[in-house]
Amino acid sequence: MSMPKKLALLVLLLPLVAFEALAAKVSPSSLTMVPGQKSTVAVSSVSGSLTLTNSNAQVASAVLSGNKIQVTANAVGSANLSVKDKKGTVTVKVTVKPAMTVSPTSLTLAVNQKATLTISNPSGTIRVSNSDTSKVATSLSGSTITVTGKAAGTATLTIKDSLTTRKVPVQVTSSSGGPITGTTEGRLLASNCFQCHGTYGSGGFEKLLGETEAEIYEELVEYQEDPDFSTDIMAAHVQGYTDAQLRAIAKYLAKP
Amino acid sequence: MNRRQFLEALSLSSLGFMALPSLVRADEEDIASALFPVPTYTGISGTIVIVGGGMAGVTLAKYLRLWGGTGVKVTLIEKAPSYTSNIMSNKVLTGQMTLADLNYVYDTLKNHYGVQVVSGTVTGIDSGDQTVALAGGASYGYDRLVLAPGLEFDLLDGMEDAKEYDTDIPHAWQAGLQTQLLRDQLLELKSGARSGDVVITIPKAPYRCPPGPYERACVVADWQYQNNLSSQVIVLDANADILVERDNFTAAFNGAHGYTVDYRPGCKDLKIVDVMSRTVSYVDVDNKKQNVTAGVLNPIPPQRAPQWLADAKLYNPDAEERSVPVNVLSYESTRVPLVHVIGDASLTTQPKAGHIGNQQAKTCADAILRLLQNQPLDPAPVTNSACYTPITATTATWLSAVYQYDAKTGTMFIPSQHNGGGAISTSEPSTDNYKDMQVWFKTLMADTFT
Repeated sequence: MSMPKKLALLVLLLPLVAFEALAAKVSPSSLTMVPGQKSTVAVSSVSGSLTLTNSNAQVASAVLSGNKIQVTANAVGSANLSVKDKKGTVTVKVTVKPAMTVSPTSLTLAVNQKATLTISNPSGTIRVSNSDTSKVATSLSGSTITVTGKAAGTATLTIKDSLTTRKVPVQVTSSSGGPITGTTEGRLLASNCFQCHGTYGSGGFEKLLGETEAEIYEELVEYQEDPDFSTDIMAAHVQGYTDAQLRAIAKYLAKP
Repeated sequence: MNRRQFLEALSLSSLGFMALPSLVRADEEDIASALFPVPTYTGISGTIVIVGGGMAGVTLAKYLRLWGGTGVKVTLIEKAPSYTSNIMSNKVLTGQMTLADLNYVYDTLKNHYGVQVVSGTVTGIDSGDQTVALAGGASYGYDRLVLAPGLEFDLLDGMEDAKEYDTDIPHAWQAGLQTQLLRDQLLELKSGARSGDVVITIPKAPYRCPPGPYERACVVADWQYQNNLSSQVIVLDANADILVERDNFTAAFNGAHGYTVDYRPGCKDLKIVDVMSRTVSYVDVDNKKQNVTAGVLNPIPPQRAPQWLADAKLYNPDAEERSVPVNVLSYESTRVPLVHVIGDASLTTQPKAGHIGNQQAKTCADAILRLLQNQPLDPAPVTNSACYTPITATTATWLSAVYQYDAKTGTMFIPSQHNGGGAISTSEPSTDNYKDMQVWFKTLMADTFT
């Protein structure tokens, strides 16, 4: 091939290449988001000043800042963000999908008990990770995770799709029903006293604030041993607690 | 408590064990209304929106701040400017209390606990967006939403408009203007401006405050007796028997109020035949249709969680559900994540009443604070129900039950160590119980509103 022919080809191609280079470039050129998520689109190869037009601000809000578009997803739907410069217009398509949810958001189960977590609105592949496989076993099938308690303790399951991460705390209890043996946190347990003895035992029927752990525990036991519990509401009430619970209550109320 | 458990309790107590010395009780004046400070940032942060300013909603708002500290932002949405207590509202009927005595405001919640109290009506929730919308266009975002909306009242068969409850046949099952109307109608019986019997109808359980209708029959009967009225209180109960404190109410209906109360269990197909003449019909236990015309008609309607909760898919009326299934470790809906329901609108094995609504709220507060920190829930929460019931103007009974969590069934149950798994009630009404009732009420309201 002779030189003039090569040149002629170049001359022919140049306008095309030059035209392609004229419009601004956006990266990424489309976005898939969930409500509440924020993202940034970079604009490059800009000629002159940029203007931004948003076809649906209810779905996504977009703010142009320098050569960046900050996008916030507001509601499910789609919006086109059109970026115009001196040489042309380029469009970023924003698709807002419902966020993946996992129900329930926490689990408590006994050893060998099974429970299921249901995933709604997943995007792409679902991945499940388990912080402690000695406590909990998991298996994913479609959009359902079966969780089995293996040993008493806690684990956190992390469920991810392409857009959202959800954490589900799991508590495995040693008890599987029957008599109450589980330990309970003193504060919540002792708050059962507050309706009649005031917040933190500050008074109503007998004031409990200021009593020692031993005093409170001994009184509770005295009531619990009262055979004639239908003549005194406190004697009746205390029948429903285990000894471990009474000790936890006394310990908490002595130092709320 | 069932009959067998009651008899066991009786035989146990009649063996002659020495009773405990009578215990020191506080006088009403001693009830502390101590205010405890909201701790500064505890490391927990979150935005919680509560809908409903009754017993459960207010307790939750208070305890989220008291236990969670200033990092937990709490907004409470309520349409009324203040709360009127349902508890003790039967005493308005007898003139022993006024509605003003039962009025509780949200000032301490706002000014001391730093809860944002918003006056408004919810129009819907968006569980994907995690927002709740109010009439007028405002919208609040949440990390966790807790609904404590109470109950809505069905129209009874034969009725055309719920306004008939406001103008002619008050149910007065939510304290307020209908309570005053019922009081005024009773006064007309006394003045002779109207005549006839008082008819109280009781819906099939579950309904709000299980002993409440029987209590109302007792105190109205006592008021009629005290005022030398010859009219009766006819109780048309859709249930097959008295639901709670059976022995105490049976004794009252046959003894103290034996001439005044006409208790009819197992009444089916209740219908309001005519609102103006206060005529109802029902099918009795022998399957015979009966008509009763009342001087004062007080129909207590069936109750269910408000319709907008069904619209939000929290419960399904098409599947015969009337309240919201929840996980009782957290009161989170089993259907809609991040939305919790406490108090009367939740579906649990526990009674629908203010005292236990207060404790459900504390369980929910503890659960939400743990969830905000990605911690597991308390695996064994305990709740309790207690109530005092006036039988006359000077005597009262009480009922107590403690609920533990059964991990196998995921429900709350009364454990066997508590009277064989049943509630416990006092062996007889007394004036001491009546005094204790005032202490209980004031302390419960202080734990909720102060």
